[in-house]
Amino acid sequence: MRTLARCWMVAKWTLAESFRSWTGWISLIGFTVLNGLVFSLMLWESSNPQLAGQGVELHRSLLPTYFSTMALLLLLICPALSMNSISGERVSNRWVLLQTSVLSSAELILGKIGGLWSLLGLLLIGTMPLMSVLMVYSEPQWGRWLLGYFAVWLVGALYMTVGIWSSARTSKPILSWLVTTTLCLLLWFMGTVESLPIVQLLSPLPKMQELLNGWVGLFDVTYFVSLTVFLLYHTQDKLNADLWIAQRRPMEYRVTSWMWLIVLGLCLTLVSRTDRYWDWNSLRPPLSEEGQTMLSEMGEDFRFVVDLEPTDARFNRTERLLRRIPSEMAFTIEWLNNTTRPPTNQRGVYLEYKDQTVPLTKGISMTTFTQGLQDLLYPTTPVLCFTQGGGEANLFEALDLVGMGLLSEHLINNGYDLQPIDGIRSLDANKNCSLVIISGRTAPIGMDWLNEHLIQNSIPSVLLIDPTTEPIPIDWLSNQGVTIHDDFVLEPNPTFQIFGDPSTVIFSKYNLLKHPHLNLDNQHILLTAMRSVSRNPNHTGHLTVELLRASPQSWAEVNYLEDTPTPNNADIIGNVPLMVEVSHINNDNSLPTPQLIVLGTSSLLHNKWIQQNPYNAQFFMDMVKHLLQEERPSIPPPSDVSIQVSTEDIQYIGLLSVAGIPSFIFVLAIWRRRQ
Amino acid sequence: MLTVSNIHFNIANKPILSDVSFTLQRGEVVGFVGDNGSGKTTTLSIISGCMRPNAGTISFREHSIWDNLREYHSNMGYVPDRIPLYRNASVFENLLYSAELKGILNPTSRVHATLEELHLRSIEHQPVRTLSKGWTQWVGIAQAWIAKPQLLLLDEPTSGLDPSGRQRFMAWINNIRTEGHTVFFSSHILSEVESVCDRVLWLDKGQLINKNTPSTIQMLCSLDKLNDLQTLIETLSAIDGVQQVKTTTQGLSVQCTEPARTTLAKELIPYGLLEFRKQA
Repeated sequence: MRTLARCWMVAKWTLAESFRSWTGWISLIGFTVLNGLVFSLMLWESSNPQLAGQGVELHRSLLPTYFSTMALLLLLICPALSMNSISGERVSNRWVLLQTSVLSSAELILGKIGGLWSLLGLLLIGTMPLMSVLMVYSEPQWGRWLLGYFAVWLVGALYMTVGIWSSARTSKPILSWLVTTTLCLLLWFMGTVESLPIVQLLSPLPKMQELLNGWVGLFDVTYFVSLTVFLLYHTQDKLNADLWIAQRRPMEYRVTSWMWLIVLGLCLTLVSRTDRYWDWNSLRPPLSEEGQTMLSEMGEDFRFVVDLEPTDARFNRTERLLRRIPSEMAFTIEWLNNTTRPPTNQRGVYLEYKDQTVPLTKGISMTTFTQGLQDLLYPTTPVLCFTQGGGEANLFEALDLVGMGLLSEHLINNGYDLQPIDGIRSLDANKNCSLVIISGRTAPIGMDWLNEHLIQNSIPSVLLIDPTTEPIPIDWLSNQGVTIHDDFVLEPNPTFQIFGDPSTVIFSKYNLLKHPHLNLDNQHILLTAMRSVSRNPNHTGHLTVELLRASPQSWAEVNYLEDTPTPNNADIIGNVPLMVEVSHINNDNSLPTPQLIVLGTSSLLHNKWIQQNPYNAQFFMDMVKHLLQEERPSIPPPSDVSIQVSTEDIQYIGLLSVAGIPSFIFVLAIWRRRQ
Repeated sequence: MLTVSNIHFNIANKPILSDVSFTLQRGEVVGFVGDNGSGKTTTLSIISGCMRPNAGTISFREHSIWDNLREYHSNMGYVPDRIPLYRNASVFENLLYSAELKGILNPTSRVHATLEELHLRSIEHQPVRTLSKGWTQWVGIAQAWIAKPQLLLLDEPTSGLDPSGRQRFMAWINNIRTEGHTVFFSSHILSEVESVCDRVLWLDKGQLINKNTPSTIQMLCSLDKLNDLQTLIETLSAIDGVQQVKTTTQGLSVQCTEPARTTLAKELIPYGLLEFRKQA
């Protein structure tokens, strides 16, 4: 207790000392302003008209990004706050006062770091009013919020610890700042090196991301604790060693130091081996319904074979995976050891069903597990051919907002092979295509070409039609002997372009919410913008349909029957029903097979929109499965709480976050310093 | 009370202190003089427990200070050459923190008592950064004195003090001596050291000068101002331990033994002695 009291005394002083000068106040104000700016920008994104009134997903998109940015801001601030902790005391000779106190070096270090951690806590508390703003606009999962703060605090605390560690090793505060910033940046970037898992293992970034995703793993927490203890131990050891300025410390001191470190390391390793975890993310299903269906179908014929050493980095992940599979699922789990494993095996996890084996030698996760189940049940892999090179979005580009990398990833994860083809002209040379997806300005696709290459050849296709594509008249399709399931009007109108990104509206008599293949009853899709159309007098018989979660101001919904609509960027946003399906009637009068699906635009499949709403990708995949007449199950992304703030409200929130709270802190600083 | 035995201290094979040994008794005031770079501050640093010597032992009450540093530090106050104060904190806050660092049970009342004792009430709420050098030095002394330590180590404690401050400081030293506290302080101003100290240790190039070896001391005072030089020379020559007194172009040169220096200094102060300097 006395030790704790001593540490607390130093911590209080360290904290108070930060606020006696302007250092603490400026850090607090600066951090609050920057954080408020980030917060406002993120909220502003939620009101982006291009999000079509859907807002931003709170727990999957907004909060992780917000907290990650907060941790990045701390990377800039923590080194500056911690640089004086020891080297500053030395430069001003105050270290003598601490050295000649009755406190041990360990108590001093714990007190110092306690003060810095408290300061970090104050920085984070300063951001809490902003989080309370979110309560007004959404229904938060408190666990995720607290976990977010906990994760950021852990990362910040680690920065502070690195700071005090380097401060003990440098003669000047500025050197300490340089060393700390460099080390923290290095730790951060190590987390981005996906090709080197061992390097990633040393970075706090993946651990923080796991925490932000609601996963509290003992291993991750142990990482922070052990690294912190390690650095603090070496800091106090350095201070003890500094007493021996004239000579090298005798061996007994050094041996004791390393012995403690080894004991500590062993204890932490043992703790981490227990691999306990807590999942605070209610958005993460243990195993999807589809996965459970597949597993049930395979029953006891399915074997889960683990060929991993307990020290293997994938071992823990495998254990976690198995825990997430409901216990009522009856299948065999086999743990191989050195005597039972085939010596030629590559280490990994093997899924076995009847005579087939699917190895999971790289990533072991619920996704790869489900893919494995799919591969076992559906051994043939459909090839999806995408036209490329004609102005289409790049199929594999994952970073560019107009790329289609996220869609590709989703399709590959679900067991499809993707093949880019060089424009529609080379379609004939690619006979292995199970399905053709035509987009971009590869078109215009002439009606004859459509008939000759796709419909008559029974090649299932998806058209992501741009306005440059020629309209497809209904009577033409009827004449080709196809049944039109959805009566539609396809009216590209080059007069209007919205946000420089033209799209096409398809009005349908069919209520897409009840479409048999789209599974739209509890999901929505996002589209860049709805294009205004001029009314075609010949289409008087068509109904305006209830737009799928369209914004109430949707001009197209309200004023479709007007003869001369006036386009207005503010009121023509919204989600629209945009699919039409064409089936080919076979001569043998069997059931019509789905042949062609026309989408109004390809933009809903761009990274930008899939990032905001992963269901867009799922929606597309549902169509693919429908065309391929597959019953292949997939894992739908879980739904999240969306947050949307009006532009007017954002102005007030921005004012509060960037000016209001910092000003309040500033006034508090003035008042406190005058006292 | 404190025994320093055979201290050796080298940095990069360069000897800073060589075989330094002495003892400090309870209630004793001991001066510590030497040229710049002679190793005074290093010695004080080592005695305060801030550095470990290459060899030698330091015992406080018969126990090595390194065996129970906490116990030693609770009985020792140290004023280093640069006063370790937090510039943005007030005098009271600095002293309170020092008291807490010394593990005093009722720190606030002790701070009040120290402020009274050292006449620092008028500045107790001022931030240290606004204080003059003299006041800062007093706060530094108060900081070391906060726990009323048995042993007080002072490194150039009067360097920032004005003449009246020095007088007050000397009076205070005399006062705490009577209470049984031991004071060990270094100074350049030999006159004040010799005027208050029971004895003086002289450090030269990291070595204590043997007490019984006669040394030649040059006194820097203006000969022109002396009304009766011959009488002074006779007076000095009569002091026990003084072996030779002669005039040089720089002042008086006296050859004497270590114990004679204190008496010598007391005799010389009325003549405006500026500085003692040991000749090479």
